[in-house]
Amino acid sequence: MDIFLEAFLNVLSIKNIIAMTLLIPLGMMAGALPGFTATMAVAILVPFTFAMNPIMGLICVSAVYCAAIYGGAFPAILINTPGTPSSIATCFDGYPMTLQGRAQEALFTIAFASLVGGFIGTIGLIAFSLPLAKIALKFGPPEYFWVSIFGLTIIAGLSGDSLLKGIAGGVLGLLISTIGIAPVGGDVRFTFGIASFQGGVELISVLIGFFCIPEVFKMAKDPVGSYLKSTNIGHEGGGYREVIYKGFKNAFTDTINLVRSSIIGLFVGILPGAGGNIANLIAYNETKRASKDPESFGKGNPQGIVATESADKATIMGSFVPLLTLGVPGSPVAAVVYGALMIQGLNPGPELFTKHAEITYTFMMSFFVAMALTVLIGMFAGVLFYQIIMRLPVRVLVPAILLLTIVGSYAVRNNYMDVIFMLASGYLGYVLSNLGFSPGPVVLGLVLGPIAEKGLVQGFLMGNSMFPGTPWLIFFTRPISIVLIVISVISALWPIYAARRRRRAAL
Amino acid sequence: MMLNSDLYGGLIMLAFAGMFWLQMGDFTKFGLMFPKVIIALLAFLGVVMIVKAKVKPQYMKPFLKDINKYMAATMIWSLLWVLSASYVGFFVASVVSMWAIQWFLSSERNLKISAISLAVAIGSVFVIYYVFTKYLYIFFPEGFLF
Repeated sequence: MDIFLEAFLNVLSIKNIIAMTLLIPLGMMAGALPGFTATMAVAILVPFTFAMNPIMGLICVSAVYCAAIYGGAFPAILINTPGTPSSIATCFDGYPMTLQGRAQEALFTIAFASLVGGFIGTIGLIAFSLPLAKIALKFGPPEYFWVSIFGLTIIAGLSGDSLLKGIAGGVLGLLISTIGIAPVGGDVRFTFGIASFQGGVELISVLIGFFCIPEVFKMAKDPVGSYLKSTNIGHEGGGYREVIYKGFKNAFTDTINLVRSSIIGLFVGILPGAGGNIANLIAYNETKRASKDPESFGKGNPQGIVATESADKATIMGSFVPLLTLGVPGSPVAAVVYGALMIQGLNPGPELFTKHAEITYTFMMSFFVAMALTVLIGMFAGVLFYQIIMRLPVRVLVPAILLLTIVGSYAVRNNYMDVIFMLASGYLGYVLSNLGFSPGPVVLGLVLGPIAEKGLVQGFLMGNSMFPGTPWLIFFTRPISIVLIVISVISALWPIYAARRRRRAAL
Repeated sequence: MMLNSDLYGGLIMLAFAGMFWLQMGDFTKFGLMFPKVIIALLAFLGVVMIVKAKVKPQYMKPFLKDINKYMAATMIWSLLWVLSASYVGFFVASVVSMWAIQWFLSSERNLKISAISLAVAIGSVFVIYYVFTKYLYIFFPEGFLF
C-alpha cells in the first residue's frame, strides 16, 4: 500500500503538475488536428523526456497521450471529423447533437465520461495487469479472426436505414484494406500501378475523407453567414452551469453504460493490435443494443458519446498492460513508450514491477492525475474550440478545414498519395452517403480487415500443422474461439430478436 | 424524378469488385485467400442490390441536383488544390486555393474582401508550413516555384 501512496505523491509534486498542465493543451491540439495522431504527439515528446528524470518523463508521456485522445473528440463533435481513429463513433451522435444546438452539452458530457473511463482504466491497469496480460497472451490467430468477426457484427448497428447497404459498405472497407503488402506471404496486391499503395491505405486518410470532406462540401452549400447559421445551431439555453449539469447528468444517467463501455475499452486495449479505433465502435454498438430506445442512436443520443469516450480513455491504460507486464507493445503508442522506457534505462517486462516498482507505479498512478487535469482543461478547451469554429464565417471555415485535412492526411506518412486518396474517399463518401450508405461500416471494415486477414491466414497455417487435411478445425476447437463464436452469433442475431421483441411490444 | 439508390449502389459495388478482380495477379495462396472471398462477397452483394432495385427499390433524392454553384466551386477547387500542389508546391497551391475558395464563397466580391481573403490564406498557410517544417520536420511537396 505504501508504494501506491508514494507513487501518488510523486505524481502530485508541483513540478509534475506544472509540466502536465503545460503539455495537456498541446496534446489536445495535436489530437484535435485530423491526421495528427496521439502516436505522433507522444513520439515528438519522447526525445525531450531524455533530459528529464524517468518519473517526470513518463508522467509527461501519460499527460500528452490522454490529452491527444481527448482532443480527438472535439472535431468529431463539432465538424464530424474524428481527430483520432479512437473518436470514429463519437461522430455518430456527437455531430447530430451539434446540429441540434447541443454542442457544448456534448463537450461537457464527454468530459465526465472520459473521467470515469480513465479512472476505471487506471484501476484496471494497477489492479489487474498481470491476470489480464495472461488472458491476452492466450489470443492466437484464430481468436483474433473471431474478434474481427465479432467486430463486423456491429455493422447492423451502424448501417442506418439499410442493413444490406451496411453489409456492402463493410465488405467494401474489407476490400480496400487488402491494398498493399499481404500480411502473410508478402504479395504486393491491388496497387493499380501506384507505387505508394505498396504500404497500404492509410486509415486516417480514409477517415478524414469519408467523414469530413462530405460535411465540408455540405457546409459550402450555404456560405452566407457563419457555420452557426448554416447548420441551424442555436445558442444553447441556460448558462454554463446548466450545460455542465446536463453533461454530468448525461454521463451518469446510465452508469451501467459508463462502466460497461470502460471495461470494453480496457479489455480491447489490452489485446495487441486492437485499440481505441475498435473499442469505441464495440462500446457504441453494445450501448445501442442494450438501450430501450435504439432508434435514437445516430440522432444525437448522449449515451452514444458517453459509451465511445469512456471506452477510448480506458483503452489508453489497457494498451499499457502487455507493455508493462510482458514487454510487448500492444499499440503504436505503447511502442513509442517502449522507446521512452529504454531511453530511461528501464527494460519493459516483469523487472519493472520489482527493480523499478516506484517508477512503474508512479507512471500508472499518473493516469489518474493526467486524466483529471485533461478533463478540467478539456472543458475550457472544448468551449474555446467551439467558439472559434462558431465565430468563423463559412467562407473562411471551409478552406481552413480543407487545409487541415490536406496537412493531416499528408503528415501521417509524408506521402502525398494519401492526400489524393483522402480526397477521392471524400468524393466517394459524398456519393455513397447520398445513396444511403453509412460511412461507419466502411471504416469498420477497413479497421478490422487486416486483423481478420492475418488471423485467417495464420490460423490456417497453424491448423495445417495441428489438423492436417482439415485446417479450418482450428477455428472451432479452441475454448476462447468457441466463446467468441457464441458471442458473435448472439451479436449477429440480436437485431432480429430486438426487432421482433419491439414488434410484439407494439401489438 | 427520384433516384433508385439500390441500383446505383449495386453498380458501384460491382465496379469495385471488378476493379479488384482485374488487379488479381499471380499471388501466392496466402495472399489470395482473403481478398478472393471478399471480392466474391462484394460482387454477390452488388448483384443482390441490383435485384432489390428491381423488386423493392429504395428511392432517394437526386443529390446531383442539390449541388449549387458554391458547392461545385468548392469541390472543383479542392481537387485542383490537391492535384496542383505536387507541381507548384504545397505553399503556393494552398495560398491560391484558400484565397480562391474564400472568394467564390463570399457574398460580396470587392477589393477589400479579396485582400482580407488573401491575408487569411497567406497567414494560415504560413503558420502551418512554418510549424510543420521548422519544428515537426514534416516537409511538404515543393513545386517549380518553391
